[in-house]
Amino acid sequence: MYDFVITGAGLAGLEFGYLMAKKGNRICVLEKDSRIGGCLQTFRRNGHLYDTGFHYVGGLDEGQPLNTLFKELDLLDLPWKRLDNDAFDEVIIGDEHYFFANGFDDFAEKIITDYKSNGNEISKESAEGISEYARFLKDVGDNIFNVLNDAAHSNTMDLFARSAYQFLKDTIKDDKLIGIVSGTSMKLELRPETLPLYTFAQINSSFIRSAWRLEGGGMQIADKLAEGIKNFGGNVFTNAKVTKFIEKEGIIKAVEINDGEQTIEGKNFISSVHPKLTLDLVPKEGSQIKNIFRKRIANLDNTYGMFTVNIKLKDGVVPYKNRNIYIHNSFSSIWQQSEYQPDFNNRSLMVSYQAPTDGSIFAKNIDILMPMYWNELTKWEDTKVGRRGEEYKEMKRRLAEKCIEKVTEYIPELKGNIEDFHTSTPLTYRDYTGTIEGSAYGIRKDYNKSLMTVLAPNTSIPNLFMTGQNLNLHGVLGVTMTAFMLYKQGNF
Amino acid sequence: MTREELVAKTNEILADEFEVEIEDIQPDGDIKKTLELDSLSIVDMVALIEETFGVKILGTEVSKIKTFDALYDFILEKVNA
Ligand SMILES: Cc1cc2nc3c(=O)[nH]c(=O)nc-3n(C[C@H](O)[C@H](O)[C@H](O)COP(=O)(O)OP(=O)(O)OC[C@H]3O[C@@H](n4cnc5c(N)ncnc54)[C@H](O)[C@@H]3O)c2cc1C
Repeated sequence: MYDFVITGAGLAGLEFGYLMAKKGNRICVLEKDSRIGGCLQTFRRNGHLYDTGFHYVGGLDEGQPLNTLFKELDLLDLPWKRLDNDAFDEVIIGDEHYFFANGFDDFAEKIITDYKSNGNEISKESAEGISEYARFLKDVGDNIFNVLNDAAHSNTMDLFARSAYQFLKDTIKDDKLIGIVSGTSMKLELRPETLPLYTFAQINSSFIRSAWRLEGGGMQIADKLAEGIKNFGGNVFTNAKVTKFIEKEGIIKAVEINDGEQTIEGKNFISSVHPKLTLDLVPKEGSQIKNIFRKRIANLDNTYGMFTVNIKLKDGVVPYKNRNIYIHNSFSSIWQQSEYQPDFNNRSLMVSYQAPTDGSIFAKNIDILMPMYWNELTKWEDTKVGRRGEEYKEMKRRLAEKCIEKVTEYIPELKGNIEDFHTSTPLTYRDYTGTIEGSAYGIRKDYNKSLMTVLAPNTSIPNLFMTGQNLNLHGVLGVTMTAFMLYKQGNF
Repeated sequence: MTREELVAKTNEILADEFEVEIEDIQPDGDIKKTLELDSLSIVDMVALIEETFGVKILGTEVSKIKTFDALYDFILEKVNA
């Protein structure tokens, strides 16, 4: 019998599995897809590697939050490549360019300098506001581990109950500057009505410390963890979709795989998939899980999804940039991205270069990412991968061309040098990773309802637990934190 | 809303959502025991009350409330605030 049966071999499931396996437990990780990794997957087409979700991480330098966690997970020796210290991200707003520098003081100074060199005047109050903002982010990041010892840590919950947008208004005051510091936050959903300060501050804080790509793609993280689990005597099974949790006498006894093909027994059960899907797998009849809890979880909103264009470039023509580029139409459009923008020009884009593994100064691949909304896709919601029809393909092609055209304004070398491209939409993510409506970052946290949207790892069934991006914080750092939260607080 | 109306409404929604008999809800009864609440479902109760009465409740406020009587008073105060 396994000590832990884990549903989902994405980052969260694999990290938690690795930690428990390392401690001597018998682990079984079950993945529905034919490949592990979830949002870390890298796919191969015509001999080329393309990333799907993950593009870069923050805070991986010695003594920084992710470094501490990845040390325990033995992930530090992967080929991490640090982005440029003085410009790890470039934010383009209309025709103004801003560069994000690492280190909180340097970050603040650079924003202020760039602001002036773009022809803006800055008030003393706003300049001080930027410095205060940077100090605040440092402080929030310095305290990230508090939540590991106490899930309901009051400082953390206070930040979850505060509005990110209001904080920026109160601290920075100048709307243009608010846009600039938010300009790289496509990796979270900038929604003024709901976004908690915790999410905004923790993620931005980690990247300002240091920013890193992984040469050769995100899949290596998943592969390394899975290999580790196996070396510690555990199992990772693919094509193994959990279709039911079998609850008897108040606890989960086993999971059923592929509609009854097999059952796997265990002492503890961890689900890293969306909480709504998790609860749907526990039959209602005689369950410890109350209907009201199911209803509440089912009614939670999820964040937007992502449209991605993976571009294969002709060799030796497009210079590699050791930073990401974010492109926005205007200062005000930045905080409007949580809603569908009918005018394509008003949509924000992110450009990420894949780090060359051969030391070349030219890029082989770039990815363009753009938030995408379920209402753009409802027409095809009942279709499956590869069978969505010509109209869908046409919609994707047109959108990709618009993205490429826009990005070419800033990277002119792209013109005529694109060999091939692939696209994916939230439907792709929905069908591969099982996330609801293809949401990129899972359950939308809401500062007005922090208690309801920030979920705890435990459930009303004493041996059923949850982890993953839907709980506390999304992204590689956030998900790793949720895996450690469960590891530390589970008292296993 | 009178206290009487509020009590009736509260009992009705709690009985309905937490799947208990309405007669089991007694003014001096212990909320947690009666509704079989664990730390997770307390949040559900808060959500339900917030939604039903259009009030906002803080986590720290709820932890002090033990009996239904105290709960009615608490909601009444919020509604009339
Ligand atoms: C386009 C995009 C770009 C991103 N960019 C970044 C970035 O640059 N930096 C960053 O830090 N983060 C980024 N993120 C976020 C980050 O990738 C995710 O937060 C993280 O990988 C989620 O991990 P997870 O384990 O919680 O979920 P997932 O990766 O979704 O893993 C869940 C796994 O469970 C499996 N599963 C589902 N249902 C079942 C079932 N019934 N039985 C068995 N298995 C099941 C799925 O197939 C999947 O493998 C990005 C996300 C997206 C979508």
